Amino acid sequence: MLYDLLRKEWIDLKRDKKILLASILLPLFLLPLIGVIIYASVASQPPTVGIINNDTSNNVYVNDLASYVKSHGGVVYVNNFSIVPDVEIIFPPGFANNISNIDRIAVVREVVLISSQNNAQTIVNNGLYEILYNTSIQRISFLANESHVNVSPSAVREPLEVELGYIKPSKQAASSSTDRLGQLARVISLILFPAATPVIFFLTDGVLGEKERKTLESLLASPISPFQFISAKLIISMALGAISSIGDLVGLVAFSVFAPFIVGGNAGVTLSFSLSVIVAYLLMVLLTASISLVLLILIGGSQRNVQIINFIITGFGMLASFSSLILNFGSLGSLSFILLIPYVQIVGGLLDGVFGLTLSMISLYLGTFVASLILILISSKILNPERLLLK
Amino acid sequence: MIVDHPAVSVTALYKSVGRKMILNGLSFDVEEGEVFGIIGPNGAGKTTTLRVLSGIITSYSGDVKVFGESPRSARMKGYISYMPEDAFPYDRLTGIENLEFYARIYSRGDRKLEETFLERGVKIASLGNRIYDRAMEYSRGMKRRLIIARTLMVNPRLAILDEPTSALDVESSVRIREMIRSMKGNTTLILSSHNLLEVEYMCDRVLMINSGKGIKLGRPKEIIEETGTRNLEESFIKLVGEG
Repeated sequence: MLYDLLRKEWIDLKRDKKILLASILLPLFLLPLIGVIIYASVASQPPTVGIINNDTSNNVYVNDLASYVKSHGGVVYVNNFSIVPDVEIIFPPGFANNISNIDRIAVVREVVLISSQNNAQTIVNNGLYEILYNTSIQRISFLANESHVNVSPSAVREPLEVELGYIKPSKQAASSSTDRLGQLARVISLILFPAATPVIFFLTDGVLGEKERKTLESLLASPISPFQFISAKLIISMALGAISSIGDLVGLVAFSVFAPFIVGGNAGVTLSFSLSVIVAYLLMVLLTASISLVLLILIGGSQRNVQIINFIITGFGMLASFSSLILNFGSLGSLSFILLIPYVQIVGGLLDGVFGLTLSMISLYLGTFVASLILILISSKILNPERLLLK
Repeated sequence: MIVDHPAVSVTALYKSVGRKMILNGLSFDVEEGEVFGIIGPNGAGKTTTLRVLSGIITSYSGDVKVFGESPRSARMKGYISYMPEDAFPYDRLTGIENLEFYARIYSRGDRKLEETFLERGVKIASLGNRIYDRAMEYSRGMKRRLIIARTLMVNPRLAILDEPTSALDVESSVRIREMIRSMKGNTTLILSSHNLLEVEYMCDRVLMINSGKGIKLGRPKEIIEETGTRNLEESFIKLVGEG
């Protein structure tokens, strides 16, 4: 009988072109669209830098800074007062005189447009640092020559060198690509949940639709058990969620084209990471289905209650997406209870996998799987036709 | 083995929703093969009674038996087929697919029985070649015929029909009434209707209920005679007014 129900649901679903398109196309485009937006912000909206030069003797420094900014993707406007750049640098009169004098301090004024691109300020500061570095090397060389001391000007200027390394929370050495993979995992965590939303819709709408058509009553009066009925809805909604996830995963591949713009280089996606992402998607679908089911049975499937169910689950989903941006899952310590919040554990598992905390990842994934099954089991125990029909 | 019990036996049935008492000590029997009508004003408890008999409402007090068993187990055995008021078919499925779905459920894997149900369903629905069109393309009357065919084709021991001809045109109503009458004897039929002339015409016996209580049970002719009225409609108005 479950097969007959599934067959009916499948025929019904495949003729519902709108829901199929929404379930597949939305996630298919979501990730690449995020990539396009980021790409657009980087490529189409380059950082703009305005340079105001009040003294022609400063030209050599103005040109140095302008060349540096241009070579790092910025657009430079010199003495153009009609635009409002992200960052404006003002070279005052006498700047060249001051900077070329060993005993003087040269001053430039930097004005930053609020809510502008951070990138513009970084490029300008690096350009100014290059001027500062070259000037101080010249000054050190001059002093060394004058005092007949044989020193390396660059060693005097930079007596401390930082060697950057990466480490995982498991204390294993990591590469910069692992760091970038972590950033990519956080972006994926952001869009994990939307792929599961068709599950809520299809499960709740499936039951609500049967109620509105009054087919639910006929089915509940037939030899079909309420659990068989709800199982069919559950299976078909999870199938829809899985289809939606495939759309998301295809989108992920397209998104990887734009990934270097976001994480600053190749993220080095591995097979184990890919598998972890797939498991995370499937668990997201399963957990969403089980929470939707238990809520549907507990509070009922009226139009209003369906909206409440959507609101509750979406709230948890957004919380998990947000947690991926701000939490360091590798060292939660006493905050580990956060992992009890639905969906947060899936995000945690995905990030733990990247951090090399394999055991923690497996525990979180397995825990989510078991918790989902328990919710479905509870649903089957509290389910009866009257509750399904009248609540 | 001779089984000596009515098709349906309801004794002191009480059902409340929240603080509201929907059924208030209802009692009646329905004999096997009988066409039995339940009539009453809006909110009298007709639909709730039919839902209890079909095994959908399970929390109530009192004793309810369908063929000597709890309606819940009778439902599981496929004895009961229920058509709710204003029921619709699955719109994206064709007429034949709608029938096929229910035929499969009630035949429980018996292919021969499934085919028998389906043939019977096609005959009852009498939709011609339109049976292969999607139900969303049907008129209201055609949809209703399909739903009735879906309910009656499975040869149920008890068919429960809630307002089978509501909001239908005259021609469709007549066809459906004929369909129901043709089932008489083979299937026990319980129906509710606001059309009391229809009930008078179709039913062997009638139960009038008001505020969840039975106020009159008997053959339509007997009720008309007892109340000294010209038809069941007048009897109903007189009895409900008194009740």
